Amino acid sequence: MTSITGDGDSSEGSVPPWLWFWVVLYVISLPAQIRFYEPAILDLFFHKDWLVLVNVPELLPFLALFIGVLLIPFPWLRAFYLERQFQLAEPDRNSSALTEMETFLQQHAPGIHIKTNMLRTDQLAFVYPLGYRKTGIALFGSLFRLWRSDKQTAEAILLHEVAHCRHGDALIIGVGSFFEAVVRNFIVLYLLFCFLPLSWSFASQSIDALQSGIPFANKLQQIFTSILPGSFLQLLGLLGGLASVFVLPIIAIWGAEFNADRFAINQQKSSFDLLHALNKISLPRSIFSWIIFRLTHPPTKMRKWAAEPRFGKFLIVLLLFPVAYFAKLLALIARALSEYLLICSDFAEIFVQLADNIRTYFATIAPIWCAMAVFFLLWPFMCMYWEQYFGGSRGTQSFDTYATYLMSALIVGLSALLWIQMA
Amino acid sequence: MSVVDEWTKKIAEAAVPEEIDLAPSIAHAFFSGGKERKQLFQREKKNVQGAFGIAEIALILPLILQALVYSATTLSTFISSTELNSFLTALNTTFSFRELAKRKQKVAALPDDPFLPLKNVLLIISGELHSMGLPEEESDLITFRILMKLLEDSAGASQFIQKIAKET
Repeated sequence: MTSITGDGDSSEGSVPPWLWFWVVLYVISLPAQIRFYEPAILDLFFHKDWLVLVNVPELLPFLALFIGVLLIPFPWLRAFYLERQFQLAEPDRNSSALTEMETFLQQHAPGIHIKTNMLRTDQLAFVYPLGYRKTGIALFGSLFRLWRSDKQTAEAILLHEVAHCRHGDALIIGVGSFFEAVVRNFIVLYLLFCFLPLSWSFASQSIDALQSGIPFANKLQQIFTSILPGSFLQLLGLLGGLASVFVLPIIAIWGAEFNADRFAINQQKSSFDLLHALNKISLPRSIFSWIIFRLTHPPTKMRKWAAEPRFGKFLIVLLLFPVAYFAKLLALIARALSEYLLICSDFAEIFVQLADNIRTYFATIAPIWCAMAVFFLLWPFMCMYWEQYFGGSRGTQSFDTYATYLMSALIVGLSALLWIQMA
Repeated sequence: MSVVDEWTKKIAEAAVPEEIDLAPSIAHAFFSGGKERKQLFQREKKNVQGAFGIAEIALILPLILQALVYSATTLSTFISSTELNSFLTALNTTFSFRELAKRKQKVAALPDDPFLPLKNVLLIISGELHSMGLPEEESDLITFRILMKLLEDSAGASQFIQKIAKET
């Protein structure tokens, strides 16, 4: 990976705060979502049949997100949890590295509060909310070591964290706090709440059937032709549902990460130190841990790729969040297909239904894309005041990259208008 | 400042200067034992929103303290020897060579009398560090720097080694 030194052709500019945009949309759509999940929730609490437990894996992604958003107005809860979890304490004031880091941080994010855990090395640094406009930063032993051995790289990491603070990410980035718990345990939850109750129900029906003289072979055949394919489709549908609920906030979080990397590059006028810092990130040991890491950060290779300040790359990073709506559509198609196949075997009918649903989806997201287009056009004017509100100091306003925002607005806006026409 | 705090700092300064800021916390955690010491060797990797990413950086100072604890008996014999000046000369001569193989040859060529305590302590500390995952070359150089620091103030070092011996 080559590093770019100097201003590059589009080194300025920041990614709009898509996570804030998404939170606003989520809150607006909450009544509709509650109406959608209400029957499943009511069944779970008031229905006497224990087979309603199959609703649990479907409800969990919604609940994880709902609780994450619900906790945003209580930033001190996240602070309490993280400070306890990572054993963060007031820093040792005798450390000269701390004094230097504190001076550096105060220049870029005045008022940021430092806490440390000098013994932990799996983390370098992270920001967390201490209040609505007060941010804390946790610094770890590994960062202190890096500060002494490779100061520029350590500065790139601190600048990345500063960007989260100035971009207002610290307050809301915790919305994804429960994603990992759901994803980690999803298959177990599926087996426990879906597969096991259904298997139990089938087994008890089979015993009744055998007692009434139905041959065992018929029941055995049913396992392979109906129960197992049905369970697979059900799992596929649930995974589609999970992905459709999580994909937008995850990509919005990725947007915040790309923006933070970009801020570090802009401040250092080079991507060299950030690329060096990215090399310090550990590689996931399995596909599953790769997936878990992706819940909070984009792939490191992608971050390195985006670190090169080129017009096309910045455009792609800007459009990542709008494109996530297509990923959500794919997840919804997987979910819908699994449900259709469970109840209907006429493929022509299924495809007609799917096409109809896809049209409805585009008609529904068209106003959101229009709003995104407007946001693209306004963001270069807003970002300075946005950063001042959250970061305490005003950054410089630059319109060098306005063409990229304009292009993004055109792509997103024209697509939205096209969908409105089609509807 | 206690003996262990003072000497952990001295050793960090000599062997891993990039961990000097961590020395007081590491000394406290290591010599408190129990959960706090365990934390120094944990390789838990937790995902956090708003972080830079999960790091792949290990601290060396806790490994050095662990290696010193494992070799406390040999260190006691070494530091209580009457031939400390000869050891200092031998160390300086040996570590004037850049290549590890040559240094090893030089150490092996030293006569057992009076250099056996030095040969043992070099072998054991660098072996322990290497077994804990440090490259052989780095383990050898760190061991040299630790021993040079201990020899600078053998009386103080003796007190430190006594404290360390209690940890075994």
